[in-house]
Amino acid sequence: MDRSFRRTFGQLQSVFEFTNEFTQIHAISERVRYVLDLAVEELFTNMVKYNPSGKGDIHMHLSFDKKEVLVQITDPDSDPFDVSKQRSVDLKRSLEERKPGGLGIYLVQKLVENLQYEHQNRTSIISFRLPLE
Amino acid sequence: MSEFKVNHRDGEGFSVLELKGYLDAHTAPDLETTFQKLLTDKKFNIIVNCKDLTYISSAGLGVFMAYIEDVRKNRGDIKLTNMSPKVYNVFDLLGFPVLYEIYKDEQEAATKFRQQMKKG
Repeated sequence: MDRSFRRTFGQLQSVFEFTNEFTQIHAISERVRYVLDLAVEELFTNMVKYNPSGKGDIHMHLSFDKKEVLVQITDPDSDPFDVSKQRSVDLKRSLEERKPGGLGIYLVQKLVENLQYEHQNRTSIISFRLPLE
Repeated sequence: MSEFKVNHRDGEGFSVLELKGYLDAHTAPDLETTFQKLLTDKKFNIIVNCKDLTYISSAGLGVFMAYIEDVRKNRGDIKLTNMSPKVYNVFDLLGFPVLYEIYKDEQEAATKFRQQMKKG
């Protein structure tokens, strides 16, 4: 399944409608759906936040085989930002030392498998897999 | 489908926020507005009941991070209750259970506030 979204947080509801449609068609569990929504939101909002004036919509591709969900998110006009690069979030830091930001990508890296990033001709392509079990 | 609602009610010596639905980057500002109002009204003892919260992302967690310091500086606290395992898992992955008090239900959090108020 494919769909494109404008670069605004207001599109999140449509993004979730898209993932909902996909998970219903394939009878995907609530647990996997939560992780799918979370990973897709974090990556989509990251693109919107750091590249709001990029040209063109952000494109999502979801596919399914019997064992896993495959996700690809494409930004057709962006500077490189490798989301697969290891981020350090010090979870032992006290509240005073913690600042918001960076947590979303850290969560994605914790929850998905085979997170990959490609950048060519200003196009960023992020892909990952979600095992069903 | 991905709507979010905050219901605010006051108990004796504390306020309760009931969260419902999807707390994401688009809906997090609604929760921020509610926290801002509580702080303006000098209501620093806050219970957040997550019974009907079906989803939270880092943007939602960011709201709790943004207000906890101000709340604690004023000798209050944000105590979280009734989390589903899915929502708790996100808090847990980011190490939040060390930083926030999380209770099974609202009653436990209310008792804790009452004990703290007695101690002064």
